[in-house]
Amino acid sequence: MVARLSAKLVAVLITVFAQFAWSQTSPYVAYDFDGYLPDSGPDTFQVFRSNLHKAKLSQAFAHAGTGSIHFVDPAGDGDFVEFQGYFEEQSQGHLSFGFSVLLTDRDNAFSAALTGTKKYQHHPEGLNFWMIYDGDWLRSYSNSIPKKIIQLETFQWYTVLADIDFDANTYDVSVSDESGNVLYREKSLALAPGRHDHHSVKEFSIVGDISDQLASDFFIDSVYIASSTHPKPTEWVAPGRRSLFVERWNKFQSNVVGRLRCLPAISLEDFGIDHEALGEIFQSNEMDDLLRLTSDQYRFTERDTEELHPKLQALAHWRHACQLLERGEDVASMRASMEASLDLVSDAYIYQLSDIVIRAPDLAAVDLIVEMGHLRDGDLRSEIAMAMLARQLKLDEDRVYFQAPDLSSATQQILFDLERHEKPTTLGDPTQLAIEQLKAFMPDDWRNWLHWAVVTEFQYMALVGSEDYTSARQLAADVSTFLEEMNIGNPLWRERVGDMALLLGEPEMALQQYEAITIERSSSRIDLKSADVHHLLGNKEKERDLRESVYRNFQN
Amino acid sequence: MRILAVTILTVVIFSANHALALTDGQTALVSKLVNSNTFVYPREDIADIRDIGPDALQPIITAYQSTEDHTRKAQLARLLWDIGLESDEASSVLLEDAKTEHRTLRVNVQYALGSVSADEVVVETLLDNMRNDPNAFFRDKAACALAYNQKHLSYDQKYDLYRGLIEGLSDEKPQVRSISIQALRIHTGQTMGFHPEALVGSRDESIARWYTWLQDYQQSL
Repeated sequence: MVARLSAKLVAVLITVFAQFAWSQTSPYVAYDFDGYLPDSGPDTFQVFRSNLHKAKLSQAFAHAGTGSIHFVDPAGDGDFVEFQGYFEEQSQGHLSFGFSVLLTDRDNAFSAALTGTKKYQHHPEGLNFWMIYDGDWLRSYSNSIPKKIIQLETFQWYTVLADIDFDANTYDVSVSDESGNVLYREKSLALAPGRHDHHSVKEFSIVGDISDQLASDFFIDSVYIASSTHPKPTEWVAPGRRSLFVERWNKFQSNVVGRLRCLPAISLEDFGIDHEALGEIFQSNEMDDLLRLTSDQYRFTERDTEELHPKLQALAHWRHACQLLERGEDVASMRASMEASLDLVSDAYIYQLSDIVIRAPDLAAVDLIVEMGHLRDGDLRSEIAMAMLARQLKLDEDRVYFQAPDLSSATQQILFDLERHEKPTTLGDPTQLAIEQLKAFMPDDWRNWLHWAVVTEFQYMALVGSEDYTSARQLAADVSTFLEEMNIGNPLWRERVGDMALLLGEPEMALQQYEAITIERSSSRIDLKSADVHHLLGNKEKERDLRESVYRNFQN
Repeated sequence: MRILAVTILTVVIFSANHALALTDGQTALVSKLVNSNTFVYPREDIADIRDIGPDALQPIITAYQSTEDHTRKAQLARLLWDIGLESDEASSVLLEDAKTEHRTLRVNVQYALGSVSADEVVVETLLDNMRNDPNAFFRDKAACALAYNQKHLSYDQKYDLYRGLIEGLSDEKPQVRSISIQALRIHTGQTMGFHPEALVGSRDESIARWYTWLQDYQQSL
């Protein structure tokens, strides 16, 4: 990308970056739209457009050079056009985001944003910079208030520059005209508010009117991101991506499913806080502390383990242990905190369960968890803890985890549903819904089935996580065959057979599996993995077609 | 007089054509959704309806008005919510059921209202439900609608929404204070240190900070 930076964009950037003492280097994301664009993909950009919502290369106007992107988006159709760019996550030093914009109609709208993993939420890891033009004023959010900047004229290029200072939790913003005259400059505006200071961004987004109230017809040019911390990206492995889609998918799954962590508490009784203890906490005016200690943004301090009600001290120790576990830090402190928690409140279920999880890889922990699960009939957390350990232990060879009970026809659909759930299709948690269905149809042995499904899942993830792709493929093939023999749809396990074949350097075999799935059901995920296959087979055109069916481009 | 008559006639003809603006295919699509007896509408069909525009809403509104069946009405409210096109007429008929005691209908109407309207009356009604409905469930769902479903509001209207939520922080019902701060946090990402169970003095300090914020917001308009 940087290597193809045009002379015109370099000139623009030199002018703009002159404002910043920190900026001594080239940007690492830069789009000038002068004929060359990198391939779309998860490490470059994605375009959301349709027949109604257009985002295409144009030579009608250009801030510099010859081309720009023309965005057209009607109002009131329930959708909007978007150019979403990706870069490595930034959370320290300075980051600069710049772009030039030209409006064709003053009553139109657009917005530009820098967001983190929490996307458009007002959160330190979410919407950190948000600039909108609302058909009247250009505004920039500070302290979640849309502050007026300037009014824009049509058919004039304006260059917007936002400089984020992660250390100060603020940003500066400026708007210049075509001649480089600064029309507006504001310093030290607030990044997204939040109770902790860790701000981060990893995407930029330029869109029409997200409220869909106003139409959009505007041009964008000279988009760039630069950083004072100069992150050095890894090499490209395929168009638009620094790792294959199949590797991303497995990594994501492995992180979501298999990572060792404390299980969530679902009631105060999990902490051993009964009615009596709650009364004491209330009387000692420590309700705020209780809420603070159970908040997802809790930050551990030693004081919490010294001055509060003993049950709150135990809770603080437990939170500390869990946070260290999440970060994979300081095993000795983690175990000491967990023990301190149990010393104070020995009968708290969640502390007992967490203690076992933290003790991994102690094989005896598996039996302890099973025992606890039976004590707490219907509590899924012991099943999940069991599965986490299965992944950590890389399994005991003497144990037969892949041992499925007999299937009755009434349960086949339920298990099929369990297999194919990829994302919510109804309100509520689909996994929970599937479990409720499982209970209804199999009141006696639903736990066995769930146990089998969860443990098999984690067993697979354990093998993938340890890069034992041969064994993972064998397991996926076994499960796939088993389900097939029972006349249960098995697209997920068939897909996994394909994934492992791909990682084992057998793209033809992978393609065979993926194509068998797409005959029954189309899926963008399968399309992207098939794009990996075609890349490895050297079929550039097919790779691009499949990748751009999801990530799109600016061409037409 | 002739000019006036021609003008009136033109308006009548235009209105008639406007009312009959749907093609046969579009009419069939709207009819399919209206009669589908479900709360889950195919995304592709919803997208196609949006492409048609506000004309597609009329048969849905008519169907809503012509039934007394609460579940059926709730399904049609859900359809209007999914489509999300602004319509004064849809807003008007939904508002008639904004206080219904029927659980499913109430929830779907409350959610749909913000999706079809930017009328101040909608925000006022939902704020009133959030604070004064005797049923805690309905209060909670009104707050959800205020937090997530007000897609057509202008900055000025948002000021009224924020002010109403901040007023809810002083409510004597802890649940109302709780849902008010949750809605404010969703809109702004912050709580100003407010906790619904904190002592009155502590709450008042946070509320004062909220009013300062509201003043800043107003000055930005």
